[in-house]
Amino acid sequence: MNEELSEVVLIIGTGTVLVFGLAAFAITLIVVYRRRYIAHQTELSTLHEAHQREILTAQLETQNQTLQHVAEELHDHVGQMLAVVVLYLNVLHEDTSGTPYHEKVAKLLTHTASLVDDVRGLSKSLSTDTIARFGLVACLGLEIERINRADRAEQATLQVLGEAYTLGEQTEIIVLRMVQEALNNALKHAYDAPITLTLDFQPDALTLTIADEGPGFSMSEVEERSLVRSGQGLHNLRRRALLLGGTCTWQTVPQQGTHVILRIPRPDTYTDNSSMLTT
Amino acid sequence: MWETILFFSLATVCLLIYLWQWTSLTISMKWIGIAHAINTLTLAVGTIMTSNDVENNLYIFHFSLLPLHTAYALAFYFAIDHLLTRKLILSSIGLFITISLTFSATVQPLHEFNSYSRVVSNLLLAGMSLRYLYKLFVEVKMARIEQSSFFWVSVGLLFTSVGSFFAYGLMSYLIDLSLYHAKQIYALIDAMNFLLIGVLVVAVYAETLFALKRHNR
Repeated sequence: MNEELSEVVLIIGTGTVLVFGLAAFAITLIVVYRRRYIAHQTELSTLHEAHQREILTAQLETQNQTLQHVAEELHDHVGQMLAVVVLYLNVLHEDTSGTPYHEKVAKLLTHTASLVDDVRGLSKSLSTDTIARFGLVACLGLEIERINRADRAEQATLQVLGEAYTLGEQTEIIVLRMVQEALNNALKHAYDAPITLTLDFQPDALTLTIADEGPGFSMSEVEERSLVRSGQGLHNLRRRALLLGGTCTWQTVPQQGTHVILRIPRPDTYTDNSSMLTT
Repeated sequence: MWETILFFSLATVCLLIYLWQWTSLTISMKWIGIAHAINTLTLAVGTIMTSNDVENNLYIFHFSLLPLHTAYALAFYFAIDHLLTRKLILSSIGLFITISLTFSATVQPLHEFNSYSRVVSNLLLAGMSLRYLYKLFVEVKMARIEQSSFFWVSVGLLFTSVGSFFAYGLMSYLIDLSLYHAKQIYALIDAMNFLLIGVLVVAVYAETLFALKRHNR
C-alpha cells in the first residue's frame, strides 16, 4: 500500500514538475521568438524605408537634372533666339517709324519682351543653380512673381514670418519643387481665387502653408478614387516630406479652400536623412 | 491502475479529437495523429496482455517502435521545408530501423525491454525538433509562434524526448542494479507520456482554432 502511495506521489510530483518545466520552456521560446520577430520586422521596415529613400533620391536627382537641362536650354537657346528677335523688332520698330505698321510693331515688341521675361523667369524657376545662389525665399518670391505676371493680377502673395535660415541646398531644392507642385495644384483647382504662401521660420522647423480660397475638395473622395482617376500629387508630396524627415498635411473642406501645410525640420535638429540628400 | 485508466482516457480523447479534425489537419499533423494512435494501441495491447497474465509482452514494444518512430519522422519530414534536412530525415528512418533491428537481434532481444532503441529514437526526435525550432527562429516568418501547431508538437517532443532519453538511459543502468528504482524511473516516462498527450491536444487546438481565425479574416 505504502509502495503504491509513494509511486502515486512520485508520478504526481514529477508530472507537476514536468508540466511547469514544459510551460516555462514554451513561454521562454515564445517570448524570445516575439522579441526576435519584432527586431526582424523593425530591421525589415528600416531597410524598406532606406530603399524607398534611395529610390526617391534617385528620382529627384533625375528630375532635377532634367529640369536643369530644360532651364539651360531655355536660357541659352530659346532666350538667345528671343533676344535676337527683340533686336530685329527694335530695328523694325525704328524702320517703320511714321508708317501704319509702327504701332503694331511696338505691340509686338512689348509682347516679345514680356515673353523674354517669362522665359527667363521659367528658366530661373527650373534651374537648381538659382536656389544655390539666391536661396529658398528668393526663389519662392520669384514663383509668386511669375504667377502674378502670368495672371496679370495680384493673385498670389508671399508672407515670411520669423528670421529666415537655410535648410541646405539639396533640401531647399526638394522644398522648392514641392511648393511648385502645390502652387500648380492651387492654380489648377482654385482658378483665379487668391493664393497665399506663408513661410514660418520657427526655431526647430520651417512651416510652409499654401492656402487657396478655391473650391476645396473632399479628402475621402480623393483617397477612394480609382487608379484611372487618381493622381500622384498628394502621394508624392507626402513621400518627399517624409524623405526630409518632415510632414505634409492638408486641411480642406469643400467650398472653403485648401491649406497644404509642409513642415520641414531645421537641419541641425534633424540629421537622419541629410546624408541621403548629398547627391 | 488509476493512472492506466486516466492515461487511456486522455489518450482516447486526444485520438478522437484528431479523428474529428482529421480533414482540416496538415499532413504533418496527420502523421502526428498516426504516431499517437500507434503509441496508444501499443500500450493498450501491452496492458491487455499484462492483465491476461501473458508472461512477456515486451516484443510488441520492439516492433511498434519502428512504425512509431517512422510516423514522427515523417511528420517532421513534411513540416521542415528544407531539402537537405528532408533527405537526412528519410535516411535517419532507414538507419534507425536497421539499428533497432540489430539491437533487437543482439544486445536487447525480444524478451527484454528495448531501451537502447528508444534512446536512439528519442535522440533522433530531439534532433528533429531542434532543427524545426531552429528553422522557425531563423526564418521568423510567423507573427505569433504559439499559433503554429507544429511549434507545440516540436516543443512537446523535444521536452519529452530529452526527458525520456535520460530516463531510458538511467533505467537501462538501474534495471540490473535495482528493479524498484528502475520502476520509479519508469514512472517518469509515464509522466512524459501524459505530458505529450497534453501537448498534442494543444497542438491540434492551435491548428484548428487559429487556422479558422486566419480563414475568417
